[in-house]
Amino acid sequence: MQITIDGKKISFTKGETILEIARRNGIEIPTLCFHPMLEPEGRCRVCLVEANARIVTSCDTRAAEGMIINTKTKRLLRLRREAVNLIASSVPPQTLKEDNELTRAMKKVGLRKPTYLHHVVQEKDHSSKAVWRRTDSCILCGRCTQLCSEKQSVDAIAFANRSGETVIVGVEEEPLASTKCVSCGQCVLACPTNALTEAGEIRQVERILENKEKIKVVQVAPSVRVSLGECFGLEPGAILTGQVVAALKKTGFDYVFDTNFSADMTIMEEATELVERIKNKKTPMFTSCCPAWIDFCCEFYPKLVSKLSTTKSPQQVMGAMIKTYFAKKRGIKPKSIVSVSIMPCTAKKREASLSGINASRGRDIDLVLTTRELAELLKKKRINPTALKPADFDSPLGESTGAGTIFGSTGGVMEAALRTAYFLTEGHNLRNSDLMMARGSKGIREFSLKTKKLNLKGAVAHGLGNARKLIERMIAGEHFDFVEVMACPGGCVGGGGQPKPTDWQKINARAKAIYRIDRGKKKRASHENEEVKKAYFEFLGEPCSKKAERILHRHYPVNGKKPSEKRSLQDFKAPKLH
Amino acid sequence: MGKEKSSSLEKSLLFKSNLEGLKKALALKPGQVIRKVKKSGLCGRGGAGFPTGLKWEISAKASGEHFVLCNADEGEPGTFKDKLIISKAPLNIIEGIIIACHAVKAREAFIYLRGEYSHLKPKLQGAIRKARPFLERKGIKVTIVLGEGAYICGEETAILNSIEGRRPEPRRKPPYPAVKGLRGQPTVVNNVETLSVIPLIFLERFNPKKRLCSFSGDLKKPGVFEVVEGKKLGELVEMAKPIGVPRAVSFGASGGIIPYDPVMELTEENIKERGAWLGSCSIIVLNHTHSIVEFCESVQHFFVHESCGYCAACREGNLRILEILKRISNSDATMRDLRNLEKLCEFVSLASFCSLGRAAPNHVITGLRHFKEEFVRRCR
Repeated sequence: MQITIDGKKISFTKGETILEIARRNGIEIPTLCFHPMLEPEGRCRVCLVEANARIVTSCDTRAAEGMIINTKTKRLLRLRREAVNLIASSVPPQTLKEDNELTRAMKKVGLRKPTYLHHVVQEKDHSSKAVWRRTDSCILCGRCTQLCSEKQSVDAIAFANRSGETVIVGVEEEPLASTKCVSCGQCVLACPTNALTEAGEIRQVERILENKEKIKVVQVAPSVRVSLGECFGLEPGAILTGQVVAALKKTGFDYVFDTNFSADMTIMEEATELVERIKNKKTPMFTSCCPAWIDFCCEFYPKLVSKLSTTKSPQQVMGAMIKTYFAKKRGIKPKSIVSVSIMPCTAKKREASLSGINASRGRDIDLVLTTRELAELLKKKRINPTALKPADFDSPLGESTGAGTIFGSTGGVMEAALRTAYFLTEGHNLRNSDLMMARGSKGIREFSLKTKKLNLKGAVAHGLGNARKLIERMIAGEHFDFVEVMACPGGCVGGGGQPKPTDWQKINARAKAIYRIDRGKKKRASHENEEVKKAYFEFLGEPCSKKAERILHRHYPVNGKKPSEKRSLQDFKAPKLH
Repeated sequence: MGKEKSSSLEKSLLFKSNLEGLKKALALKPGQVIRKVKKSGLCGRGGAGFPTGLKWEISAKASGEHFVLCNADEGEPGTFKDKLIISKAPLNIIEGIIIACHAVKAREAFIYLRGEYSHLKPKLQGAIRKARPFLERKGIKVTIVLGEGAYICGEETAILNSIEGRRPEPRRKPPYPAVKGLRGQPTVVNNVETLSVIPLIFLERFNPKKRLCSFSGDLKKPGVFEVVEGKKLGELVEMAKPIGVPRAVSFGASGGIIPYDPVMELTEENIKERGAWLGSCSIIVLNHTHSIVEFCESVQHFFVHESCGYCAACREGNLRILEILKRISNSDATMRDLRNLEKLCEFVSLASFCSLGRAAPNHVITGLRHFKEEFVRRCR
């Protein structure tokens, strides 16, 4: 089948949209609300083309045999500029000073300044510990609601009102914290302006860095090192492990630890727990590394809460180890440590503020920055990590194996846990550490692992919509022993705190980099980590011992509500919406 | 809006079929019914004017569980013909619904009644009771759904969303509701007037040129009149007894406004030639006391209030059109504003997501075409 675009004959397959065909052939059509991971909704009206002399939006119009399409007539250029003009007129001037998808679209259509004056009233919602929302820079592209409802099946935000008063609000106009929002931050990742952002903590981190009395400790999540480069002009998937460490040291942190270390530790606990549960026939067991998934499970499937692994997430394991083991070892008061973590995630911000998650007296993790925030902080301090000489993580919480690294990708926790669970049951390592059946980008992947002593059915789901499908199947009677769920598409490499914009290509490139790091490691299973072994020997005893239980495990609410946050005085003063 | 009575009506379009038309239609096979409706030349009376028989045929061919939906969400300013039909001849509507169900083999039908017409619900319920034997024989369930007062719900796909309990926003077309409508199933959506004349087709009393026209504005006797397409506009307006000298007529809010020309024959073509659109056949007569700019401003208020907010073109564009119209009406505008106004109207009319959005600036476009000097006079 063939169509003609700007006088050029182009063949296409049935079902393709005009935009897809044009982009495939290098014909540039500006878009604004279009998102490669979502079904086009056609709200912004920027991607107009002429199809058989009729004006249509190219994102949602499917090509038909013999269509004659123009993309560059004078009228089209005028109409597109008007579309961007109207949208740009609806946001405050400061939004137009930033580099975002709207200002990029303005450049593409040749619009310097909007014609009309900004009209939307500003409403802020800072109720959530993870995601902040403001109405004035929102251009109502609908990506966030579409993601929240179709991809994540959470439905925490929705459109309200109509005409010029149309806004996106927490459902039933509740503040975000009171909705079923699980803090995954996919809405933030998709937002073309700054209407949805992570709960900003850059300023607090800057203030802490100036404080000479505190001991500043920072940890870096596995997937941050493969995505930070994008903010500094590198290709997706560039590996910056040592450079991130050097950059953080240069920013003023005293110790830089590796979340991969605590991921290895998490695996020690989780694999032991898994083997135990299989022995006691208490499967299925769900992974517990993803705080958005935990919130989701508590909100929507409270009956399954007992099936969640009680092991804390790597961030919280590290936080607990820093303020107990590390503090004791160095003879420092836990209170004088400020523990910061760099995460690809917005939900980690909320997780760090939960009340029942701390092993020390205060908060185990004091501040959380997303990958985006780290890039902003470094840019503010004029540090370019790509130009730095790589440095090593600090001891005693810095060594890591390949197993800890692959936590950053979907299927990684599953694979890491199986490497150790295999060792725990069979007494020797897997001959080939690459468990390919857990990898891939299919929404739900299932497999079985049969060895002499281990007969295990596993499933991996990423994206909460897929998780819901999988759980519904399990409720209907299907059985799995071990299930990994990551809330974000692709796992943490596609996390809500990652650089914008993120699409499948970038997610796959980051995941590939993660597996490249894993393959390059000599030690690829968590139980081989010498520093982890040392920590157990010196401090915890053995995996799932009483002390480990106290420090590295947690409990979940069963009342159908997500875990509650530690309240500070500030929360009581927080302005309520309406 | 006005009185809605005319003694001659009872004998013509509002002729009560008293189940006779229905009986005749049910004696035919579904295919024959569709062929007869197609042959009658009946086109939708809601505004878009799509051939009814063709719509039924398309829907009947689509596979799935069929639905029939009567659009009684009459929201266009200056249109009140459906209200008259519901109160005077509700049985005709139910007959039409049953015939449509028979034609497309539907077992469930909905009447989406405008919220402001809730007092007419008993009329429809009474008619449903009267037609019960036929409904039971065909196993058809008719449900009346009350609208909540959004203009957009007159749009056939927004109704579907509203009935399904979603936010009333239009859906992308294609797929058209006839193929994929309510709950994703083929759905015939017809206007009240369209369905009410269906039984007349089977009594051989139907004339496609005859339709109901709502007259309002500067008139002594506003109301619903039966008009035959092709009659002179002057004759028609005379029936409603104009006050003063008419100078312009507007076809509802979305049809556009044209200068009053008593010798113009009322046909789709003549109106189209002048840049306007007959739509649901409502005529608002303006006399010399009204300024076109102010009329446009008040119509624009309506569209700004009723924009559903789905697409940026209608939501933002109409808002800015109103801003400029306000400035012009306050003699506060410049010629640059006028140029921007033209650009905005072009954009909204070409780029809006749904047909309601695309029709919204019609009155300004036609106003600027026929009465430009009035706009220019108020600009600096």
